[in-house]
Amino acid sequence: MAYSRILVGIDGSEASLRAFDFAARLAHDQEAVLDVVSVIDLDQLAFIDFHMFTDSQLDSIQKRARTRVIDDFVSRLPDDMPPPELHILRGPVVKTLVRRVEDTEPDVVVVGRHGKNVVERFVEGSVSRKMAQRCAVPVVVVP
Amino acid sequence: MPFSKILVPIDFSDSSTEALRLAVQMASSGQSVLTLIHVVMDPSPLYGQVGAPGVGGSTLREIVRAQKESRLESLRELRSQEVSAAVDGQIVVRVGYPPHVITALAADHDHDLIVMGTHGRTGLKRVFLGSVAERVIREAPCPVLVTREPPAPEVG
Repeated sequence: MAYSRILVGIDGSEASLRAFDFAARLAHDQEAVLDVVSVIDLDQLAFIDFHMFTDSQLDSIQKRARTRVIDDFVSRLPDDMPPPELHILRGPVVKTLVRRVEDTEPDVVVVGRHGKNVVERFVEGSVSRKMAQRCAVPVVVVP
Repeated sequence: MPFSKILVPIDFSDSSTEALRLAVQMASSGQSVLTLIHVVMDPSPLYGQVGAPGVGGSTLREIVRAQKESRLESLRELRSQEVSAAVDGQIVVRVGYPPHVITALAADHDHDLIVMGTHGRTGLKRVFLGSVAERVIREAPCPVLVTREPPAPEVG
């Protein structure tokens, strides 16, 4: 078996850190492309902050997210791995991830079981469960 | 392959056979042990209380024991059909509530991956994720790889 492409969906949660490590291990072993995807759901942020974002604010959020992912996640990769793809996407989390899966056709998708966002603290693991429900490719849920 | 102990819940559905095939592929490139587990649903909480004449007690134990043996034999067959000789495949039959038995076994025996299908034999296909898979995902001590049903056969 050869996996050629592995997608890992991350947010800032502990579980997604473990999901990342799992995906990295798999990608390393399989010599597969690792696609690291972080989705920012601005509607949720808007709900908390009650204001609209300007273009430059959006830009800044995107840049900060990218830096965060590089510092906290990508830095954990072993040196002998090629740099992963990294995408900071905007939109509803599950819908955006599923679309990314449809567009890029990875061999497997990896996500953490519990997320970090406000909605998920009340409805446990909803992103991971929905991914397992909806993706046409195998999904790994990492506790 | 980085996974040394892979647990594969089996209910003899197409979905679980597909999951087994994927698990075999994942195991073949390394020193992995595959454990095929089938869980017989424990009927005694229901029938024990009903206490109908002839049901319950030793008769129930006999039924469960016979079922365990028959399922063990089915696992043996499945293993010989699907698991290549190069892969170490263990077979286990237990009685209980499947999600609990599966996750407890994964914890007790330090499995580093569970591979299972989204749907089993029971339940509605229009539901996107079977209740056993959902429960296992929710409670597992290790990563769970959930795989879809085999694709429809190609035409032409």
